[in-house]
Amino acid sequence: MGHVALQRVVVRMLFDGAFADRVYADPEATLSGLALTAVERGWLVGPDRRAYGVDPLRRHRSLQALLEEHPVSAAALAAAGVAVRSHDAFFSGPRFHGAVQARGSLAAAFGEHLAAAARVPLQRGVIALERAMAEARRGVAAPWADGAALRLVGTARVVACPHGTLEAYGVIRAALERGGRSPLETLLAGPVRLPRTPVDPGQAEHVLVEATAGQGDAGAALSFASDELATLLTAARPGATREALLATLGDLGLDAAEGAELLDELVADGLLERAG
Amino acid sequence: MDFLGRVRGLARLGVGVSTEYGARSASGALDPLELRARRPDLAGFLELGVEVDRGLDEDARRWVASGAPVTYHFLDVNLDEPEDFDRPWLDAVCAVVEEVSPAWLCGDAGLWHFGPRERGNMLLLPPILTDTAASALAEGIVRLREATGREVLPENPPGQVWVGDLHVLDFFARVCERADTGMLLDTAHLAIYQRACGHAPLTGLDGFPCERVVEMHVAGGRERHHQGLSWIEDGHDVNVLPDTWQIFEAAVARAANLKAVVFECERNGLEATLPGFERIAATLAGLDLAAMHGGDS
Repeated sequence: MGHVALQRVVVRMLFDGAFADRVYADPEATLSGLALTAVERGWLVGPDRRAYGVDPLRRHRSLQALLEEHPVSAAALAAAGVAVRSHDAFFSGPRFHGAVQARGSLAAAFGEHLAAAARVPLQRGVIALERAMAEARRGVAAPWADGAALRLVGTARVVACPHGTLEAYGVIRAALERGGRSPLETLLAGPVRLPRTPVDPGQAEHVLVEATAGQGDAGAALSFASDELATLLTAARPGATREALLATLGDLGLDAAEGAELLDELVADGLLERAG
Repeated sequence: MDFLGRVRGLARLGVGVSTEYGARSASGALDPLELRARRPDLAGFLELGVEVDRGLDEDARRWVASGAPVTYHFLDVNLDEPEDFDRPWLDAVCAVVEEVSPAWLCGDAGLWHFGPRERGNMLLLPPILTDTAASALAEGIVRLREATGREVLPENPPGQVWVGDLHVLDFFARVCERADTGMLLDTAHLAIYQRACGHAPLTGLDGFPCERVVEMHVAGGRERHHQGLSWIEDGHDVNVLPDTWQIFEAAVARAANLKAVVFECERNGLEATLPGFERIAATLAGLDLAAMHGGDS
């Protein structure tokens, strides 16, 4: 399987010239920890070093796709001085390299990158929303826990964020789309000024994110979730037995019959799925 | 039945043209149906470049509705990655195959995306040129062939960075043998490889099993420079480089089972593409290829 690791290192070298320089200078030290032989490491530095750099727009194209999926997060950060173009540094960082080498989701890694830059509740809230939207669009459910009978579907997520985040998200998104421009066009045109969008970190709100097919980066519906529904869906995320979920509902004040009816409704609505 | 037996049942498509989603959004770009109306000898089939997430565009649907032949060129699968053959993707591929009924599937046998199949992860890189990578690629070809019920022809991809200990033609010879399949030889990509690696245009062709070549691509390219390094961009221009013509003419003469040749020029105006098409057609006519023109190979 050396070819798999080699291919991923090639991708990292194509995206990150400084990393490529380090590989050429000292392949053994730079690639320590990877299961590559000395011969394989030698293949990586066999081509003309300049061949790794013939496409200067490679990072730009990928960053564009990532920003199109996280426009409100980028806007919230930009309004506080984190320049949109500064996210180019993501491709030189450990989250990018780790995602490529482990075949992880680049969008998930970029979401982590954005979250690490957040300093205030509004930023944390909208970043959490857009990360959940990106996850829901990919539709990957948590692996079934042992013995679980029900779980949250992969195309849905529940996010806890500061009160006011959902409204702020909508207001900022609308501002980015004003005049018929795409959010990315607005972001790149800069400077980014946010509408007044107060959030209250002292209170939480829960947002249900449900992916909708065929709408690209806008393909997720957002709605408020009651505390009770959020508690239940969060418990169901990794999968749970029916009895455990009924117990959760019991703690929330529902009797067994009401709880069973609610679980069946959530399955029928496509928010929960049954094992098998 | 082995591939050299199965190949006798593949349709003879002649000279054709390619498209991919939105190709005609470029101003003045070629309309495949217009080309077919004016010069049916140069547009015998349409090669549909397909990303299942995007589906088929209006031009592709119009061509399919006309009943003219198509081939399915995938743009979104890493054949050597078992993780890439997820059920939703396979179902979507089979749905397109059902809809357009291609003569076969084909496509660059390289890295179409790193990590999961996500928009920001899309690119096209050549495979690692090693024996184990050839085996992994062959397994993927067999898997896709069994899933779709169609022949799957790997294509040699373009690229500037080539890693491994095999020549690209030796690599694909192993892939074809292990998958017992045919090959789509992209002559422009091969010219790019030979130049990048410092080889002459025809290096490696003598040892390549050209009887497995079912389809060829010809395309123009542009010479570029980066920090003093000269390289060829796979631009699908109409100006075909001399190295590419040399490879095409040499390979055609040896490809006894050749069924189809695509001139990849989808973003150019029709008039500008005609000289390239005509040179391809003239080359094929001059060689009197039985497989291309009606006789059994």
